[in-house]
This record gives sequence, structure tokens and C-alpha cells, in this order.
Amino acid sequence: MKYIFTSFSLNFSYKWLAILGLMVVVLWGCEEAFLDPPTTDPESIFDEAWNFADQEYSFFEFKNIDWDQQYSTYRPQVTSSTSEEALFEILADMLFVLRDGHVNLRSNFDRSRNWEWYLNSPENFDYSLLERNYFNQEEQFVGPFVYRDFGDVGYMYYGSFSSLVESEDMDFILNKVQDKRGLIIDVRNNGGGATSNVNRIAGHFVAEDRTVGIFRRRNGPNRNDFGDLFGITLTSQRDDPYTKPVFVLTNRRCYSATNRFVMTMGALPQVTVLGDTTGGGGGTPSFTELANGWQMRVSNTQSFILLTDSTNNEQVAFNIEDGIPPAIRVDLSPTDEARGTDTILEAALRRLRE
Amino acid sequence: MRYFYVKIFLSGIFLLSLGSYGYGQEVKRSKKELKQEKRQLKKARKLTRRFQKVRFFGVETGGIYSQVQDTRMQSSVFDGIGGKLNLTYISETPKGLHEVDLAGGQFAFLSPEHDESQIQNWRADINYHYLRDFRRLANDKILWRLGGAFTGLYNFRWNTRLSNSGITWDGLASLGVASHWSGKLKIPREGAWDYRITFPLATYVNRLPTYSLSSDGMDHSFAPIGTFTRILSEVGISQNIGRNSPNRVRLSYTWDFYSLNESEIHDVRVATHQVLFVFLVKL
Repeated sequence: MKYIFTSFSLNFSYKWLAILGLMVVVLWGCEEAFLDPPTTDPESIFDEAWNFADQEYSFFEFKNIDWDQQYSTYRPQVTSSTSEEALFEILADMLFVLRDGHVNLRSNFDRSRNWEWYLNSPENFDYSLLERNYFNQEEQFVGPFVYRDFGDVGYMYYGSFSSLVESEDMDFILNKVQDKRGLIIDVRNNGGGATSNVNRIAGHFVAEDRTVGIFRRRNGPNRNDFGDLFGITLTSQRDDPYTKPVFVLTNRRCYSATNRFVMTMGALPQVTVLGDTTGGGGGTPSFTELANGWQMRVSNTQSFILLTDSTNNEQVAFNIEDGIPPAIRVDLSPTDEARGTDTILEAALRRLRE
Repeated sequence: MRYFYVKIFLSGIFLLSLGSYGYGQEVKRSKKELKQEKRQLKKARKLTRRFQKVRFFGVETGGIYSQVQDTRMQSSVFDGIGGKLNLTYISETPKGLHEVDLAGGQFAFLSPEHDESQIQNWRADINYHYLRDFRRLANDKILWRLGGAFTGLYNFRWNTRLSNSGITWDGLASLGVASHWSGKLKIPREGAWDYRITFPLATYVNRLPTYSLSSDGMDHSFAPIGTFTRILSEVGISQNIGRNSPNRVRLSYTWDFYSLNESEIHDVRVATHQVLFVFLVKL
């Protein structure tokens, strides 16, 4: 041990060790000066929530929302003595204005929401009716799908895009319907989940990758700051795709990833979307946690379908935030429902059998 | 150590013999011969330097306490404890010190004051210090070294509660200056203490874009001091394992703080306190 740390004879100096100790303490003190714990008083929490939406939300212009006006309306309602519940209510009212299912404030005692996108529309779905009058305990549970063989037509129900889709599940169902007239994919009341499952299903209906839409992200502090437009690509999942007629059944509760699924399937030539307009939810949400622990999310992107304008043959971008209209509009008639008939499913069956 | 002196002695004899050979011949040497002699001399010097070098390889492990504030994810300060594993290489010559900390890995589970969520914090560091002997202080009791440093780190944070926005990272590579002081200490056998402080001056930053979701692209930028501030401060005591063993043990405390003022609205501040036990094997 010749050189390590010192190569000469000397005695330890307590003075120097004391200086070093002091240096360590001083540096630790610097850390506390740099770190800036946020304040959790009601006014600060309000400002933090308003600012997060201001910097991240992507549909101010599309929905014609004056966000500064909301600040002027709601900020005076908050004082240093505002209770936790009252503050939550004020913030919930302010966020309600955004009319967006992807905008929520979540605390231990409540979750703010605006569900008008489906509550102001007919339900158009009754699972119990299907179970009692169409499935008759003959259905098969294939992975996340409920499959029912109607003889000449296959039917599959997918209730949540949060349920993982395996390729084998799709292969199993598509092999079953290979010799049938067509397939019905029912995604009514599917509120969304993981968009990765969209490709895992829709990729079985194309032989080659194709662009089914475009999207862009909010990328700056100004409310109209957006990045470049990117294509949304559907990736093929099999060499021999299913090319027979497919009907996708929709209602207003088809939201978020389901909305993306309907956009994707709607771009394929063999697919017809039937039922009600989807609920929308075209913006991928961005999340944060406020200083008091409340969790908040707002839409951060925009998605579009590219349509061709028949008058001048030019492509126009259709924003899917407020939903995608079906190719064939059908509502569940109360008379049919009372008789145990699903009008929307019957409409799809009839068209496949024509 | 006995071998070391033998090697030095042999090298000296070799060098002397080279000189006496030329003298004894008393003939005019050709350019080729001169060149060859020069080469041999250089080789001998290199050999001598090699024998004078003391090298250690070490494994470090210990506990850490971290504080993180990344306003891109959330405004709260998260703190918690974790662990670290590091490999280190030290090479010391009569002129200076090379220290390489290789791929140090550390993890910590951090929670904010309100305790609603948790961040998984994973980090890898790579540091290289070259320190030259500069001055002896306090009547030769302290050796002061000065030099430069390359410090790199990748700090990955994951807050599962934030879903799409739950992942972020800082990739940082810096060039800076460092200062090192060391002296002897009795703990209880004769040992040594040392203190090193490092300040990066220029930094390359790799981060997620300020206004975007987790997996959407990356931002690259150059951050001068002021935009990026880091202080790496390490104090340690060490001694040989036994009276006759060349291997050493070391106990160190490191305070590592960095602050990145990424934009007008988003800042990152990370402070880590590490207590590490190091086992150094003489190579």
C-alpha cells in the first residue's frame, strides 16, 4: 500500500476533519434550499389543476372553450378556508366544462367526470337480453371474447379493451367463421382500455399494414401548440386475413380505445359499422398528481380519420373526439327490447343473410 | 512489495547498462542504433512506471436515501430509501489518481408527503476522475489533488399511478472539475481519510419532451452550468484488511445532488445520500 491516499508520514488532524464535517452539513443544507415542496392550500391546488389543464389539454379550440374565462369564474370561489370537499366540487365543475370523458379528478372520496357523451343518448344495449334470448347458454368464452355461433354467422362480444387479446383467441374464432357468411363484432358498452388490443384484433382483417388515421400531440405551452401529424398504422397479424363481411356494432358507450377500434375497422373495405355514434374520446390522456395527492388527467392528443370530400375530391381530417357516426344508424327499439329482440344485432344478421 | 523494489532495481540496472554499453564501445553509432536505444529507454521507463502504479478493483454496496422532485410528473417531493451496487477501479501513481466507478446501479422506492403514490427510481452511474497531485497542506498532513471528471448517469422513474405519463428519465453526461484531499488516520490501525468534490461544467441532457406522453420521443440538449447544476461530494475512510493484506476496506458517504431547469415550468431536482461499504482488492 504505497500511494493510496497518502504516501508520506503524517498525523491525523481533527481540525481538517471538522472542516470536512462542516462542509457536508452545509451541502446537505443546500439540498433543502433547492428542493421546493409545493404548497397544499386550496388556492394553490386550484391553480395547479388549472395550469395542468392549460398546459396539457388538446381540445380547447376544437370545443371552443375559453379556459381563461373558467379561471375567472371559478377561482374567486376558492379561499384559504375552502374545505377539501368544496374545493373538489369547484374543480369538478370547472373540468366539467371540457366535456371530455378523459378529463377526471380523482381523490379518496370521489371522481369528477362528465358522462354526458352517453347519458344524453339512448342505451342501445342490453347484455341480459343477449344472454337470455341469443346466447341460451350456448356461448363460448374464448379469452376475453364471448363467442356465439348463429349457424351461418359468427358473433363475438368484447366488453373491455383492458382485457388482453391473444392471437390464438382471434385465430380460434376466425377459423370457426371461415366458412360462414360473415362475422359480427359487438363492442357496445366497451368503454376502452389499452389501444394495443386494437391492433391485436383488427390486424387479423388485413394482409398488409395500412394507415387508418392520423394523430398529433400537444407540444407547447400555448393552447394551439401541436407537433407534426403522424399516421396511425394498422399492422397485419396474419398472412390469410379474414376478408368476408364484418359488422361492428356500436353505441354511445364505445369510448377511447373502442373509438380507436371503430376508426380502425371502419377504414377496412369489408367492414360496416352499425348502431349508434360512438362516444368519442380521441385524445390520449396525460396524467399528473396534484400536491395534495389528487390525481388528474386531461386529453393530450388529437386523432383524425381522413375522409374524401365528394364535392372537390379532397381529403379532409375528421376529428373523432366527439365520436364516429356509424355507416348504418340503428337504435334498439323499446318494442323490440320488450319482445326480447336486439334490433341492432338483428339488423346486422339480416344484412349478412341477404 | 518486495517484488516491487526488485523490479525497480532491475529496471535501473537495465537503464544503466544501456548507457554504459554506448560509452564502452566508443564507436560512432549509426542512426538506427540510436533509434533502437531510444526505443529501449522508452520501454524501460514505461516498465518502471508500470511497476510504480498501484491498482485496486472494488465492489461497493450500501444503502441510499433519495429525494426527487420532477415537476414534469407531479409537483410533490418524493423521498425514500433504497440500495446500491457499484464496481470501482482505482489506479494510483506517484503523480496522481485515476478513479472509475463502473455502471453503478441503484434503486429506491419513493413516496411523497401525502403518501398517495410511489415512484420506483432506478439509476445507473458511470464516473471517471483523473486527479493530479497539486499541493501538500497543513505541514504535509494533507495531500490536495485537482483534476477533471466525466460523470454520466441515467435516472429512470416510474409512477404506476400516472399511467400514460408515469415514466420519465434523465440521461446526463457531463465534463467537469474535481478536487480531492486525503490524509492519514488511525481507525484503530493506520488508515486514511479522503474527501472528493466534483462539479460538472457542461452537460448533455437526454429527456422526454416537456409536453408529451411517456413514450413519445426524446429531447436532446446541451445544458451549461446554471441550467444544470450537480454537486458530487464523497467522504471516506479506509484501511487495510489485515496487517499483511494488501486489500482494503472503505466506508464512504456520498452526497449527490443535481438540478435541471428544463423549461419555464418544469424542473428536476434529485438528491441522493449514500452510505457505502467498499471492498478493494489490490491487482
